[in-house]
Amino acid sequence: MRFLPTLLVVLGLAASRDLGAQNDALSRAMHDELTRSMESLHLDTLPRPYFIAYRIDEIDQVDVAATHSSVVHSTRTHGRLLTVEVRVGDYAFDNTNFFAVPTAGGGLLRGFGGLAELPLDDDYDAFRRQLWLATDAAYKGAVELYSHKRASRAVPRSATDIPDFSRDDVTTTTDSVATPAPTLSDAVALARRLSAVLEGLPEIEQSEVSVNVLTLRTLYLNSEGTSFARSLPTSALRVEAATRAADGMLLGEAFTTRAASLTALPPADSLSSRIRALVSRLGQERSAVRADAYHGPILFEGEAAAQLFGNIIGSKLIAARRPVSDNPAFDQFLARRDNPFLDEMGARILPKFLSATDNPTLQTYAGQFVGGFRIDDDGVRTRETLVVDHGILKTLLSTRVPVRGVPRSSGNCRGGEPVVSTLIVTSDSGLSKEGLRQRLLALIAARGVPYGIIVRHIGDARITARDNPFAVFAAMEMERGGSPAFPASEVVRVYPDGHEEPIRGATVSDISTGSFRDLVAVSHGRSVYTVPTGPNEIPLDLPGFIRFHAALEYASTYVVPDLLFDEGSVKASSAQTSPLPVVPPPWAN
Amino acid sequence: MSARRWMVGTTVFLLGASARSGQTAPDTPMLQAMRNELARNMTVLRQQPVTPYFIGYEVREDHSVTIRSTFGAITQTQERRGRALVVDLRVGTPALDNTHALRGDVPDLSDFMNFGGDFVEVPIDDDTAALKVVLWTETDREYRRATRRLASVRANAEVSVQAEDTSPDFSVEPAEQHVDTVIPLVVDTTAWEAKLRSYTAPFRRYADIYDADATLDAGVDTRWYVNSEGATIRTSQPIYRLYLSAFSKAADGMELPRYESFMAFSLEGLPDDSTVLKAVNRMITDLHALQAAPIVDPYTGPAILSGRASAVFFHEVFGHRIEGHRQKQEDEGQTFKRAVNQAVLPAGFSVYSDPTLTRLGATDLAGSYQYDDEGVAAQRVTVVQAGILKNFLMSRSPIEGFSHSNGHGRSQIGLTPVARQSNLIVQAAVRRSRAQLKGMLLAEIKRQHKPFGLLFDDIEGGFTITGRGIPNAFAVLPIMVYRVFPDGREQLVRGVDLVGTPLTVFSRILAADDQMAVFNGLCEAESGLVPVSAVSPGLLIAQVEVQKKPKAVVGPPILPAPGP
Repeated sequence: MRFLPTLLVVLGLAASRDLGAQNDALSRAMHDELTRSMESLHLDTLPRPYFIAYRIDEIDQVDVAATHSSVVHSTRTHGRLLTVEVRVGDYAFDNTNFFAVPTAGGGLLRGFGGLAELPLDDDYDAFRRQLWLATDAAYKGAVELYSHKRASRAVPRSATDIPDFSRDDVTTTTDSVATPAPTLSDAVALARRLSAVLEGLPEIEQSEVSVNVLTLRTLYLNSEGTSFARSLPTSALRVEAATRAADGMLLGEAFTTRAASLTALPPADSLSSRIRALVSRLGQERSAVRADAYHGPILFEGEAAAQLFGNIIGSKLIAARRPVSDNPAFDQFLARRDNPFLDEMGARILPKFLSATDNPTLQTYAGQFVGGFRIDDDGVRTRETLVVDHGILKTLLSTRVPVRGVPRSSGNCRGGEPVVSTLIVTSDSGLSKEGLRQRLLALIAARGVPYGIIVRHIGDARITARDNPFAVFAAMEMERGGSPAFPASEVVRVYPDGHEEPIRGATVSDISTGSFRDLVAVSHGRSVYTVPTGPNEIPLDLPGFIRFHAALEYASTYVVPDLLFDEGSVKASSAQTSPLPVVPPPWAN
Repeated sequence: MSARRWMVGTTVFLLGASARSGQTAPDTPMLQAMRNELARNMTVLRQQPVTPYFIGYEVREDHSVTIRSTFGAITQTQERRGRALVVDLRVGTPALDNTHALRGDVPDLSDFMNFGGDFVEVPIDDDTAALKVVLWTETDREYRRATRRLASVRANAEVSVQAEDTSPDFSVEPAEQHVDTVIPLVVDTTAWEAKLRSYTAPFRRYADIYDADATLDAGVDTRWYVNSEGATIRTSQPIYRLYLSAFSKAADGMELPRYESFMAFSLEGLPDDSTVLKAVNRMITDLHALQAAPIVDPYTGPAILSGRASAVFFHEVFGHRIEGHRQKQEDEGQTFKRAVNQAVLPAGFSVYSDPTLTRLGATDLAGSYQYDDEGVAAQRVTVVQAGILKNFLMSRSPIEGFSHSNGHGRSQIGLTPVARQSNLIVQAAVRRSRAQLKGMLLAEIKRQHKPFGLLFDDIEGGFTITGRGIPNAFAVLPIMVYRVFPDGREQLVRGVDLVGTPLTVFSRILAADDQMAVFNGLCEAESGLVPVSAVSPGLLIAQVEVQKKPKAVVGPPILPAPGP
């Protein structure tokens, strides 16, 4: 979706209240058990905790899917998940950032190192009980790991070592809006209505509309005195459809739109139009020629630019500390997963005319919901962070777990990890849409290739996964090899005279982190794209714990101009192409 | 392929009547749509070079409510409704089709990525147009898969030696017609939340009980089945389960669990509050007694298994070995393959498997059904008559000497049905009283010059291994075990599991009591989880063996429980 900047909605800080003073049973239970644990929880010969934190995430969720105005599944889930963080040692050296094979003999009392389901009833005694057991389990795990880490020779000890945990301001914050409980019937009605748009379309072989309404309420308290109450409502509507080309290639397209609530989603009419546009694109793809192998200039327009940037650069702009391990084989495995930007502070990673700023405080950007937050999961107040300044990497988005060059939190902790919130790429010199196209044509001519490539959407439709289950593994393998490849769902060849020819089955590759340094040009306008890792990704058949934890995954947004690379590749698709079904479709009578 | 088969879950007795609807109703739009689409696909596919000889469609709906409480407070309330479609399509001939087992080390990748079963969701509304689209695409997918696999099967048959069992891959069975009314799921969640809170609140008083949960699983399982032979079936079965669990810890770190569970086909069939609360009190008493109980070392000697322990024992040790397909698979142990019409149990014992039985006394039986997962009518099967093996449990996969299904082809949705147990009933011709059986145990202890015998009262489940290459052992996992001294005194002990090997143990069964008990549970095997029951009297066995239970090493909590 294109726009010209900018209308930003920034959240102001609400008046904060000391949670300890609240009469709320849960807050009191957290306060009482935390205080007792800090005072008394320790085994004689072993160190006490120097830090304890409780985070309670209450998930209230409705999830519905419909096809052809019929409901396929509908689920209402409500639960509370407690995460306990216990640290022993001190800020410089504690039980974390260390990986050891879990010791056997934990049993039922161990839990997942401090995870538990809490009651939904407001029952002080029941809360205290679960907090007590979970804290005990977390402490025992922490103290055992700490001893192991101290004894391990793999852990370096010197004055220049990075601390395990950074210090931060004590804050008390309320970021809560009253949110009504999601209703199944509203979600069902919307899913039915929109899925009806895809009914009676003979060329659409499969389709699904899913609606997910989630309210995530979080309470947090730590032993330094920081506390917060936060409420993050999100609604997501996702539409997927697939069609089959004459040679049997299954082509899928999808889009997701998000808002703070169901009623804040775009009106049904506008969504219906969007669905019809998706169908029309699928129609174009069906009749498109198959992609050939290609090497040359590639222009990423619109959402494709944001998707590409997010995947290759954006999602890696995080300060993810690599844990130390005492197992050499595992150490090697961890090394392979290193973030490429971890030691690149001061290096140029983008062209000089590009900068990038992360801003978690934004609730919307140019009218699109991006779902910001004012306080992160560590209780750190969020803020704007300049990550890339005229091409130079200045810092990485961080939590209270420092890495070299990033000693303090930037307020980007969600689910215990650093995340990109809304990353906005700005340019000193952007071209108009037409201007950028002309640049592309010039590159084509200079390169001497018969045509260039414009990518408008990178495929993320899971709807085709059943047809090609190996695609997931193939993608993972290519990613590990350092050269990610993306199936592109909306791709055209552009010829020197300017005319466009759609192609299908293209996989874009050979665009690496290094390719971005050599970006030829970008557009003036920018697109907004939220990476679909939000709540509606949860498989419904997972057990409660894991499903709740998945609901806590955060969706990152990228605001990115169109991107012109002078060198990239397109591979012909490796998707299996089954012949068309032998039996004609049921509507074809 | 050898694998462990698990049975978990416990239950005891139930009060109240179970309700099952079984009236025949007129044909339904869903069934009509399924039949029409099946016929349409079959007509076109029959013109292909490789033609299907059989197509079956099954749609299963699971509509369920789960509510859980912990220590007197509600921790989860969830409602879910979804329908899944499975297509069974066979190419080749009934003598040799695409489902034929690939022998040797040939990797079978046809089920790659089908973790947890291969099925697709279909709308939960009765929208026949949408349903037909899914039926059509899935039939196409299955047709291609079956055709590819048939090619592998044919090649594999060429290169392998002649199989021991040359029976066909698919049997001939009558096509059944039966349509039940769909039963709606109605649960008063507010009332049940209050009940569940009250069931776990009593545990709060005890600081040494570290978990206490009560879960209500209420659901209706509705199925629609049609096949190319003309079968048309709809069944609708409500199932309600109430599980209680709690655990404590001994001073040496051993975790001490205690479970109770109840199952019924109606909400009214679940026990009333006072019955459940009595069970809760028993759990609390037992957990405290277990904390103080001494550990018993590995031991062999005479033992009594209570009815429930015997039921699990028979399910694991005997039941899995009379599942028909195991007699055909060449990597299976095939314990009883050649034992038809021979003595396999002591002469006084008979065993039958009866899915048509819905209750025994006041207890609903979890393994009951009207039609199996291949559309074959459920049948009572006499497995053992006066100690002599007569029959195996059969699906539509014939084995040497048994060419028909007896309605025991079962599976979890998305997995291929194989012969599985239903309600396994063990009967003894001679039944002693409990006191007499104990008297016989004491006599046996003296005769063997043992310091004590054992009594296994309550168990949590068990498992067994039936493949070749590794010992075909079994384990029954007891919770309440007593040492019985020669003077008759009983002492609660902990820390051991009951183990053994089948043929040896069967030859040591001496006597049975007159207390039939039901164990309702879930059995996990190669076709997934299916509900089953086993019913047995208590048994006196001349020689059992016990080995040590696994033990956690994490100690009890450091701080005392928070004050009230």
